[in-house]
Amino acid sequence: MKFRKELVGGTTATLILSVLNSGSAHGYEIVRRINELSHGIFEWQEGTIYPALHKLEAKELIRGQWLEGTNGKMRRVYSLTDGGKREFLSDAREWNIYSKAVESILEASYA
Amino acid sequence: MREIDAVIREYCDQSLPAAPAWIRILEPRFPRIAARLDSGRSVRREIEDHFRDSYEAGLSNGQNPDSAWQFARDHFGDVEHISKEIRKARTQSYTCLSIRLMAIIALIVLPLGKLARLHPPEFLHLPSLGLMAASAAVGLLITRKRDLESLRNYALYGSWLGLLYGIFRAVTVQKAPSEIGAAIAMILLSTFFGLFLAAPASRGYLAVIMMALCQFGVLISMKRVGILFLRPGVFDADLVKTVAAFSVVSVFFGLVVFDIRKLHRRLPAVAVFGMVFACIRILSNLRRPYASLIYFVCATSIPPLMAVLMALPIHKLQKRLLQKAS
Repeated sequence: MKFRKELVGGTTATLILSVLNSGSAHGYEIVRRINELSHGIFEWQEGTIYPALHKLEAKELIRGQWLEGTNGKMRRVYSLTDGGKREFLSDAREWNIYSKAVESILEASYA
Repeated sequence: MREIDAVIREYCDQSLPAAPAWIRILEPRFPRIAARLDSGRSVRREIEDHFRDSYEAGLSNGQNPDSAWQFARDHFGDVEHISKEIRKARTQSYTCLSIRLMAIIALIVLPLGKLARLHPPEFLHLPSLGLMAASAAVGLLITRKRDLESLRNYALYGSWLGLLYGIFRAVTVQKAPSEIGAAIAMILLSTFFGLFLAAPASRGYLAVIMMALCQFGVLISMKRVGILFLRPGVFDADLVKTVAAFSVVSVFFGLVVFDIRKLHRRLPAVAVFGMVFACIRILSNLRRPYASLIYFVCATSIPPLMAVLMALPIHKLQKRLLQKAS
């Protein structure tokens, strides 16, 4: 399903932080996990993850490091910083409240 | 189909912007420096890895090599988007590098007086560094957390121990200048390494408490050894000049060590450098007017505040410069 650009743009950072909150991952893995966890509803253009990752890195919410992977090759792996963890918790709380409010308004309109 | 690594490399050569000529000249002889200077190279390697992963996923889904490569490219989306990103990152890196170079030149060229000259060996203090290293090692052994952030946290505990031990020594040792001097060094350098190396971006009251304790420890030590006088009337041109010089050195030093993009997030580090630098320079050039309580407190407390106040507008300037650069 295609979503509006504003809707996707507003949640990209939170989704990335959320994936990294459950463990470090490289770019491709992050995209794969998001697609998997959304049961295929989010079909990202994979390349768009990198500008988002670099923005989060510049804000010091995540840290990218070149680490040796299981096959002995170096991979750029991203992990959450302490600031990123705080940001994720605050984003998640905000999103929960916001989505519940939207949901209850929509439910009321169907009734 | 040819080997996938060669295909990906060729595709990236065609689609992504090439490194500037001077990086290409630097690369064969100094690959590490070239890699450090060219921020686009890391992005390109990431993209290559991504294509390889995506291609392999296609193959494992039963596609043939050609359609797996097509699948990888289709799913990646617009490469031009990444190209723009690489161009922007490069321009920003070069702008920041030139600002760093200008700050180094300013530190060397500006006539800030003998008192405000940087002497790096004065900042070398093995006991406080050793305590931080030991603390990091103990933390690592207990928790087995090897990431940089955890190690920095454990090292910060070491700097707290050093600071408190220094204050304890300053209060309890004999009033011999050498003993007190060692305690002052422990207090100053533990605070410096704690906030500059271990927690340069700390938030909240940590930096303020640490710096206040450091100032308290130094004043107690000076009082005990009898080199601190309660003498008013020292607000003269010399004090203003000294404070201004220390503040400017702190900001330029911050610009050299930290990237201009990160300076506003390294305020504790910039402030602690300002304070410790002022303390060390005054204590190592101690003459009578500097030994006045008001002079000492002003000369060591105003520079960190000024440095922080100067770093904040620099953040706004940086935003404009980088916007212009990209």
